[in-house]
Amino acid sequence: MYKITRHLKEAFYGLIRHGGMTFSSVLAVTITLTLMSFFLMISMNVRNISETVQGEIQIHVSISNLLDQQSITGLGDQIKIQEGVASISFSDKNNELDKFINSYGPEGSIFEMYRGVKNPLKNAFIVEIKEGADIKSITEQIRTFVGVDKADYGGENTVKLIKFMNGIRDVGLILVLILSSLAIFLIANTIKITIQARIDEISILRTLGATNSFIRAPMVLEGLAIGFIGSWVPILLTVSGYTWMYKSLDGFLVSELFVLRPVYPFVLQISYLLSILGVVVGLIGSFISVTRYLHVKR
Amino acid sequence: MLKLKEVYKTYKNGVNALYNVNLFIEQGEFVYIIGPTGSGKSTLIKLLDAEERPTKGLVEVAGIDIGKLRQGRIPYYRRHIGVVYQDYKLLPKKTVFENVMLALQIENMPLLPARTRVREVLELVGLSDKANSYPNQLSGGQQQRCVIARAIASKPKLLIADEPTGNLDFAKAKEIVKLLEKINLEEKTTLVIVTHDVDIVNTMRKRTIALEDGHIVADLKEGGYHSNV
Repeated sequence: MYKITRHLKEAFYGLIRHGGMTFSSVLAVTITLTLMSFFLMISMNVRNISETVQGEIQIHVSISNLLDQQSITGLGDQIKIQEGVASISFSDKNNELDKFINSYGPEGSIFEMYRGVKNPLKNAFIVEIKEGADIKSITEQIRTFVGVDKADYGGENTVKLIKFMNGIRDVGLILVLILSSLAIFLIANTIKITIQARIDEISILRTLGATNSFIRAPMVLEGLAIGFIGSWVPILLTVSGYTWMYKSLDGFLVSELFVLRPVYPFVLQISYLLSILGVVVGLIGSFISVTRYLHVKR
Repeated sequence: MLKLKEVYKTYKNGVNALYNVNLFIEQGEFVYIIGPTGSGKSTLIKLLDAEERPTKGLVEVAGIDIGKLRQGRIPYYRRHIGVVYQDYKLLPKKTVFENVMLALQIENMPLLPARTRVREVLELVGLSDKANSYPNQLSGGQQQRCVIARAIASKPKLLIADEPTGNLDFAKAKEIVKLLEKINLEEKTTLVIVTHDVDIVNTMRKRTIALEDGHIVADLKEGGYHSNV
């Protein structure tokens, strides 16, 4: 137990003793994590918006009037097993007319005269898909099925929008990964410099029979502390910045279709993520540095 | 306790440091190894504390074959030997007590017995009143005593002293060797003192092994050395 206390104490003294180094590494982590937080917020909001938009788009499949009930069920099964189809629901011609009338608001009542046998609309399947980007190919596939009169979706622009947003989301996540590697590199380099300052200490510990883990432990703890402390300012900026932006924009970006993630628990999730990222990059960075040095000496 | 059989050491740069060295030291013996610069003394220490492996031959300390010692076992082996250096190698930001305590922390000795042992060895080397001093507040002789205390804290079977008197005047050097003699008697520690200080070797006579150009040129059981080293 007192060995752990010793490592903690040594790590603390190490941070104080190499104050300048500690400060510059904390600053490096702070900058990197702030950028990471920025990209994470964009990425996660774009994902949110993308999911909302995706939820709105469906394929409307009109069923030929010539199909009997059994064939309609068969067609439904055929659509359901298509790759990329999330769910389908059946909407009979009366339901279709209701939706049509409702879409016109109060003026829709003029179409009431088409109720019953005069209803010109057809039974339909409403198909929801898993990935917005696949909507075009799935629609084209459905069109080839026997008994399908028409299959339509929101349009080309919707697909383009989804593809664009997925692109932003992916680029954001790639940037987060690149920045994580950068933070690891920065911490590894700083710890490397502090190792240079401790070569004598390490050689003394070696002659006394210290294992690599005994030598490594305080330095890895230092890296961990640097990463964790480095996450404080980014967390503060995330919480205050996102709250301010959310309030200023009333929770929407441009239109009501683009709903931003609510402040809570979103900022808390990002904050946890940032502190975990800080700790992990600190651990990995210092571990790499110390291990690389310890491996070359007997 | 210590066995070297037909030991050769050639470094990667081609320097031949030891040739066909044969040596046997009994448990509890006090031995000087003397020789001029470049005679192979430092290489011998490096072999004994497992910093280097022999190119050929057997180096055995307390039944452990250094040549076959796996990398991961070296730290555990080093806990069985104590090394005293000429340049002290004390941690400057730690007190005398903490410097000695470090050896026992590495061994993972429980706190209370460790503290008791530190006080015991500080008493033995005569540094009890300096326990809370930092190395830079000590004289050369006191720093050497502190290093000796640290080296014997974990009751090593073998204590190697590399030029322990190199930075001290004759009177202080004699005191240090007397202290090592006391440790040899009281703690039953085998002592190997590597030195080029002929005066000390001749004043405090013990078994003396002379090295020259990587060869053992003399092994004098009665001690003393009269060559031009």
